Amino acid sequence: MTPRQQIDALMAGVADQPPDIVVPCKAVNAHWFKILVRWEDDLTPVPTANFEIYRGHPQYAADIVAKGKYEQKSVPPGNYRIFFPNIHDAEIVEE
Amino acid sequence: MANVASSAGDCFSRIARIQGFFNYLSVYNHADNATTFPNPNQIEEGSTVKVPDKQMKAFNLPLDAEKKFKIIRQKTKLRIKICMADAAQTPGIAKARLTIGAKKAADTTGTLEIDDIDPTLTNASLTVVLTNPPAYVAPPPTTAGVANQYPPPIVAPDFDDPKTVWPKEGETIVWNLQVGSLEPHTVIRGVLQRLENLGFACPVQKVEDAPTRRAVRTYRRFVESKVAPNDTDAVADIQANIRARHDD
Repeated sequence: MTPRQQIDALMAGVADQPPDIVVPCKAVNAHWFKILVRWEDDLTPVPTANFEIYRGHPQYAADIVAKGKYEQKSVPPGNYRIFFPNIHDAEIVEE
Repeated sequence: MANVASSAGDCFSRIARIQGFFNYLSVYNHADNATTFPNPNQIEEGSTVKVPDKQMKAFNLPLDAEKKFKIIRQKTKLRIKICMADAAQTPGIAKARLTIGAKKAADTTGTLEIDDIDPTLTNASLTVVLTNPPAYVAPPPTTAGVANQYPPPIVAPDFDDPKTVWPKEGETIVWNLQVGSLEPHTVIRGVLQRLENLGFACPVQKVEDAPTRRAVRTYRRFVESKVAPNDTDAVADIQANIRARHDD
């Protein structure tokens, strides 16, 4: 199964817009997230890494981590998931 | 799952990187590969390596926070040891430089190492300047047509005249290295590659014939005190010995 097929299968069971379980705040409707990707052995930033972010079911962003970092401001509340389609699952872990 | 036929210069690190993996173990740990290749450092040209499909993982991405990930990689090292023909001594080195891609290492102790090379590269360059190269000693005279002595006879165009190419003090010697091209010592080509690396003229091929037997006999004359005239001079006879001499 290709990475694309696997991502589609994993996202198939996700509702279109699940309730915001992270910050249910009406006053502040804009949020942010940051991504940092480093090598496990020396903790230096990975030059580039493709990723795809889904907000609920729909794809929200597909971009590239540059020099280990990616940041987006003013994002609406929601339940976000991220995939790295070029990286095998055994080769990436959360810190 | 994909099947990849290994070619000259392939190693698991190289195949894994070309297929988009950062750790060769992601490929090598496939059950079929572990059976076919008991030693991950030994791939025979033309072998089939099973490359597993990448498995995807979904991570939750929290808002208003930094999400950190670590990628697990296996660095590929290149280490070169410079020694004399007997493998026991290190020559006096005024300058030595190892280059592969954009990475370089320089040292005068006889050991050069680059600990994070691009495994897809198969060519490197080694430049050495000796401080006090050993004097040239002419080989003993060899009966015409008898080529089972060491040093092997010089046969144009296989060799240059050693008197003219023997290193001189201060002279820069450059070797072009075919990284990863050495096949396992358990196959004929692997043994013949090692013979050639050690200076014994022989064809690097997959079958044994008169020239390979001649090279094996020459090698045995070099490392053994006695060689019986009726020995077979098969490649298998020197597999273990040449591995120890060449690889260790």
